[in-house]
Parts: sequence; structure tokens; C-alpha cells
Amino acid sequence: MPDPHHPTTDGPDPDPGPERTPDPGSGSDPGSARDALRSGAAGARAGAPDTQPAAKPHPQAAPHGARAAGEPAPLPPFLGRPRTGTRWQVLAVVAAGGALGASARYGAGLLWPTEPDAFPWTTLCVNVVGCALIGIFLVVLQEAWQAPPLVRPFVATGVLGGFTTFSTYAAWTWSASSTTARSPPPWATWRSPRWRR
Amino acid sequence: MTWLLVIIGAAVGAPLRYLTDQRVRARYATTFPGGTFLVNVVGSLALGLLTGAALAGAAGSRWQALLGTGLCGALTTYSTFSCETLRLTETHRRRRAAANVAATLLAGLAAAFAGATLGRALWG
Repeated sequence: MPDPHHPTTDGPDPDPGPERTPDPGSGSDPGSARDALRSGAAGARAGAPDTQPAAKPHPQAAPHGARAAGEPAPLPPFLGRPRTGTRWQVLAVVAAGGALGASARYGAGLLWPTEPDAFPWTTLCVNVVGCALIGIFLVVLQEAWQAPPLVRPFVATGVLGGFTTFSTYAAWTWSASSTTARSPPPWATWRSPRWRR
Repeated sequence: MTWLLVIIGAAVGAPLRYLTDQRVRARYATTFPGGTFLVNVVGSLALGLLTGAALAGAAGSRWQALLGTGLCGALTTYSTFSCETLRLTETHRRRRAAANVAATLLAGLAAAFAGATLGRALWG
């Protein structure tokens, strides 16, 4: 019984059938399918195999106290949620994408190496580029491109999730704060030494 | 060789992040992106441990490539964190968005500091 509060709930072994992306060819109203996607009404897809419109109220009362009238619906699942495919397929594409993204990050570190004490410009740029790309990708996926189902976990969760990193920031902050020598400020390391002379 | 270590680490870290996010979503019906928060904090703790061990001379460059760049780098993510924060602000949950940013930064930094201190104490 899916929780109406949280339609993104995944069982341990999700049935790929009901979560299949609405086929634009067979669907009678592709616009409503897109609206359902946009409003995040995954419950209509996950819970009901017959693609009921998203506006259909849930027949069961909310178990843990109904949502307030003004409160919007729960967050739509927008990252790494498989529309179809088995769990193993999704895990495989996430692993492959993560390996690809991490390799690109490692390659960026080789191309533009930064000193251990210097400001990590490469990590900053990797994260900014990755965030920009995921924003572009998700909007394209939502607005323009009916991508194959495994594309989103591959690109968003795998490649871009593996490309960007949070732990490097945290660990670098510790290293920078724990070094006894006073390291130069970021703007000093940005310019080339010859330019500053 | 180092590339291969990075790839192996990332091929474990990225699915771990995905599975953690799925588990957290399934267990806690909330709009707060707890899965991404959890992987970022745990990854920061692990990379802090590794940094402390590396400074103490206990972890070589291969371990750093496998566990640091590969595993922790792919386990933690910045793009999903920023996207989920943006999604929270778009759905008029600005307090939750601010709480997400503050909690992730503070807990991530605290985890890295704790991990590095622990790593130095263990291997130093």
C-alpha cells in the first residue's frame, strides 16, 4: 500500500511495469502525462497501472494526518528514479556513469592540478560545471526530450553525481585550517606568478 | 593504474549513493533530501579519515585514488544537493532549502574534521 504522503517510496523490488513512462504514441493525452510528471504526481504512475490523471484524489484517507490544504504535494522524484528497468539495470548504469564522471573529475585534476594548500579551483569549477549541466539536462528531459528510461539515472545520478563531489570540499577545508603555515588567499593563487610580479 | 583505481572506487560509490537515497526515501516520508545529506556527511567523514591517515603516512597515493577520489568522490555529490535545494525553493519550501544548505555544510565540515582528527589519532 503506497503511502499517499510519499509516492516515491520504492519497494525492495520495484515492479517495472506500472512505472513505465507513458508512451507518447499510445497515450491519448500526452499533455496530461507531462503535467503529471511536472507536478510530481508519481503516485498516479506508481500506484495505478491504468494511467489515471494526476488530479484523481486518493481514495484512502491520509493515515498520519491529512496535509494542510495549502501545502503543496511532496517533492517529485527527479533524480535517479527508474521509470522502468530492473533494479540491477539501474545500478549498473549508475555505476558506469559514476565511473565515467569520477574519471572526468580525476582527469580535470590532472589537467589543472592545484597545490594541496592552494585554493581548490579545479574542484570548484568541476562542481559548478556539474551543477550547470544537471540543471540543463533535467530541464531538457522535462521539457523537450522523451529519453529512454535509463538515461536519467545514468546521466544525473551516475555521470554528474560522480563528477561533482562534496567530500573534497570538506576535507580540503580541514587541511587548510590545520596547516600551520598561512596559505595565500584564493585571489592570490588565481593569478599567474608572472602577472603578479 | 590510478585511473583504474578511481574507476573501481567510483563504480562502488555511485551505486551506494543511489541505494542510500532509495532507502532513505522509502523509510522517511519527508520532503527533506535526507539521502543526499546522509551520503555527503558519511563521505566527508570517510575522506576526513583518509586525509588524516594520509597525513600520518598510513595511506599511500593508491589508497587515496581508490577511496578518496573514487569512492568518496562518487559517493558524495554536489549537483544533486544543489538541484534538490533548488527544487525546494521552487516548491516554496525556502526554510527547508536553507536548512538543507546549512545542515549539509555544517554536518559535512564537522564530519570531515572529526574524521581527520580520528584518522590522525588512529594512525598518527
